Amino acid sequence: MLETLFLMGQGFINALSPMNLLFAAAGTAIGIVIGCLPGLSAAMGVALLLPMTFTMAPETGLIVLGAIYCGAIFGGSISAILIHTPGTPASAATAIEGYQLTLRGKAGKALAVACFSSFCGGLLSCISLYFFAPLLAQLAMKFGSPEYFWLSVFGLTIIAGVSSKSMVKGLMSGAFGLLLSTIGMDPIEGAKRFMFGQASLYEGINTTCALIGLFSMSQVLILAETKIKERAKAAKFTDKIALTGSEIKRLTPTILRSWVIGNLIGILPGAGASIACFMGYNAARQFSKHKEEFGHGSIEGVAGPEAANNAVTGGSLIPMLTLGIPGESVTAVLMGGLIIQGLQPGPELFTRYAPMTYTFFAGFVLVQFFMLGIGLLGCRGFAQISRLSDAILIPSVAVLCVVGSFAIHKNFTDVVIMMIFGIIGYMVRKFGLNPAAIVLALILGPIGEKGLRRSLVLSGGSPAILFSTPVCWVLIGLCVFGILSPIFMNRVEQKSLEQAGGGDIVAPMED
Amino acid sequence: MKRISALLLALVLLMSLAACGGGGAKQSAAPAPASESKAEGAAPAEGTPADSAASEWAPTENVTIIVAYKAGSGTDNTARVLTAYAEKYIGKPVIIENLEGGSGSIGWTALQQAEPDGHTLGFLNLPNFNSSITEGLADYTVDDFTAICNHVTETSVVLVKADSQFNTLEDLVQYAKEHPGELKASTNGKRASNHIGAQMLANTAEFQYVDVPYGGTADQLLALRQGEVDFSVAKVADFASFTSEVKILGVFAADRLPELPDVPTVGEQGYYDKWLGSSRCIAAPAGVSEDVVAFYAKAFEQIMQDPDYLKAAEAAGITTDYQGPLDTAAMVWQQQEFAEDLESAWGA
Amino acid sequence: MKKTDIGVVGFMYGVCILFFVLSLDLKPEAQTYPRFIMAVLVALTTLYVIQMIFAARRYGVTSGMEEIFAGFLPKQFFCILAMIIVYLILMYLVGFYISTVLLMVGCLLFLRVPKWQIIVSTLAIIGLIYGAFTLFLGVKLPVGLLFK
Repeated sequence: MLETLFLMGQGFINALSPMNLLFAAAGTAIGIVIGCLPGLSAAMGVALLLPMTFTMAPETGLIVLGAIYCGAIFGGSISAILIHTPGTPASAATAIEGYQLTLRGKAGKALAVACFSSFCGGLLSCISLYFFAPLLAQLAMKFGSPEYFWLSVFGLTIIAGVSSKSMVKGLMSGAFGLLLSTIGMDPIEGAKRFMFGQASLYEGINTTCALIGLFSMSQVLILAETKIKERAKAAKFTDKIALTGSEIKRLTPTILRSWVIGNLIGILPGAGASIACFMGYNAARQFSKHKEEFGHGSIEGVAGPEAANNAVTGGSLIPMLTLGIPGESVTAVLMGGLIIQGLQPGPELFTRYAPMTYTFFAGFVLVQFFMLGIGLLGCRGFAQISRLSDAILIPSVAVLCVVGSFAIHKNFTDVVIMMIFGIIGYMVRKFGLNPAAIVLALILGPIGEKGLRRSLVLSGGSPAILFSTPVCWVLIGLCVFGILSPIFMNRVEQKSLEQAGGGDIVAPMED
Repeated sequence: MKRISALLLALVLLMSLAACGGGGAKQSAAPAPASESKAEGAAPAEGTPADSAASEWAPTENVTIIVAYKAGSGTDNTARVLTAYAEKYIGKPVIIENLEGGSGSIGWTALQQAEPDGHTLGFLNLPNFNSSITEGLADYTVDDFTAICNHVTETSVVLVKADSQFNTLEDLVQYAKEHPGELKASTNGKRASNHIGAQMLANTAEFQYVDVPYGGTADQLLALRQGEVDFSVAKVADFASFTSEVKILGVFAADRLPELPDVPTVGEQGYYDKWLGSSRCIAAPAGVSEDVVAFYAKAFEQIMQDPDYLKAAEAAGITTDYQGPLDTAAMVWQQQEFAEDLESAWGA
Repeated sequence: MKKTDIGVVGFMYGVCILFFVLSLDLKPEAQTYPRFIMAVLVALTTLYVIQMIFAARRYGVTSGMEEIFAGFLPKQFFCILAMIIVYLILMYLVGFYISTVLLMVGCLLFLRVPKWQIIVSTLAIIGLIYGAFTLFLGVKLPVGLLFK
């Protein structure tokens, strides 16, 4: 034990070398830029810069990649908040409340909250990375096919929570998303389903591509339909960036919840930051003491998803480093990087290569501080983008959508798919359906389908397998809670609404 | 006035993003010369690629190698280790372009359609490349490509969990025969490479099993480690980080593997006796001149003998297996015939 | 209820019919799951229809169009949409950078943005994309058929 602590301390000393610090700072900055550009996800950022790290020392290379990973997950929130364009799928849920804050002229505050919560989420996830890695890694081994099915069902219950006024319409959006998620190869039979003759649909609709269409392109069309607003005049700025003590106190429970959620989701292979951010958002909403603010810009609605998605970063490293199981596409790339450096993930990383591993961990901690620093410094500047006239935003965001969707696979088909989703997203938002529910279903659909159908293959068709383990029952309990609590809450809300005299059906995402 | 200053600020920001992008580009270019200097002195034909090739042809611009899988995937990793040492012998920087999607068919379609001027090459993953043709995912055929050389060959093995009741392939087959349809095998996808292996074993040993597709090798092996399935077929490099958790029951090869001398071949135990596995070879679009093929075959042969490359390849667990253009073309065709014959193997 | 919701319901039923017809070509094992999802979607849509009928009885029927499209400027909207679609076609023909400049300038002129702002924001976007995508990440943006 003492020896381990010594190694940990040694790691910090190594990580504080000027070279490592320089690369950590540069990596964080690059990550933030990659994250806030739509279409460039954390995984792509890490993959694109991976070759650069081959010539570095292994620990420095890993720190750079970790920095890009964390930076990109945080960076996605910047564009989500400012222009309703989640830079990565991991910040899709941040756009919901963050953009409402921007519309109310509080972009700076929203960015500061996002930055602070990302920092907390990331830093807290390091605790589990340092001290509970072997223990938590066992969780990854406990999750088999039936568990993944229930996890995705639980994720889908969030739809009931995010669709406030008409739950049926929210659920319809979810089912529509699930149907779209069946496009592509059948995971069990290998049959080509609903591909409309496009080879690029073989692996299903790309989530990032659909997300850019549903959130960003639809936003362009929404901006284009009415008289152009001059933002700087339209919204009066009472924008104080620094967080007050009472705000931090208010956010603390949300951040702690999101940390636990994000960390656990991160450990589960195949789940990842995009699911965690929705779960974090949902938890923030369910337990908030200021529920009335949700839908109109709530700082908890920004802190919840952002703390959760950054808590994923530390969590997802755990199964990769200890068991060689890449949980997310980012960690798969990181694992590739390790292998190229001649390091096999597994227990050896904590014995023979412990100095390198602990240097990387220490670097990972330092990266969180760089992220906080760069983020807070940048907040004021970034927030200025929210003052740009809509007239300038319309073509600029459209161009970014196109270039972002093209960059995913360097494929023009993806751009066309993005455009189709843009028009669907516009109609969906106009007619009170819920784009967030569609995205969520697109992310969870394949996980749930694989879990369900694989379980049935394993059991020879008997559904009893879905109720066979304690973990299954825990998840079933969560599902029941997830379904019942918003129904109950809706009752309460509707009563208060009826008293106030409101009655029509408008999705919470609409401006 | 406020608006103007806001716009200006935004502009400065955007520009600083761009500037930071530019800075990064310089950074990313920097490692290339570094790797060159590291390898200095090791090469007999330093900096004179024209000498090293028998033909007169040499690339006049950057060479692009298309990898049909994402960055960080197995194919990408091996490709990057190879290209890191390529410039010395090829004379121009070699750039990897990841064009993933469509189970590889998107990248290979791009390779098929590329200009056959010798500046665009690609990695073909056998047998996935062949099944993309037989499954009708793409419009190309084997004739649309010219094989240059083989890079990596990986052999399939039969695996069970370390605490499994089966200690030999014989045990497994006997149990499977006594309990038809009870044993479950995880595969990396329906009719994907590792499913082929399990099916070949089952066909030759005449037992029935349930195949459970997991969509990828990592997930497939996780299911084996979790005990969700009873056995699995995978390649040696796939489980390098957790060898202690699995038992290898048999190797799909004509002879025992040098790195696994104690593991009998599947054929030795009376079942499928031919080689099964995957290879990654380098090809160009059809229509490249013979000089181009000769140049690259020679260059890649030299790279694969470069001591620095060999050191890196060993560390990364890459089983280098150079084969010349003719052998490689024969292998592609042989795999294609194998893929086409498979239809009968799947049975009902 | 709102009349516009009839459109929503019709769209959902339409999607289900389309996918159902497409699923006829699949082998039986692959049909089950997508059809299950279709059944869920049909059930939810029907539930919504029932809710609509009840709402119609209680609160009466409104068109919903005026409310949803309050402040809708058809000319502006469809011109911008058309510009974006033309932009995609142009990109296919003449490549990314030329078409982007045309879109930015065209769109900003149409929206009557002051000239200097047009120049500045076009340069900013081009600079950003050139720096981040082309230089830094080495993404090859479309060059266009005409220049191939």
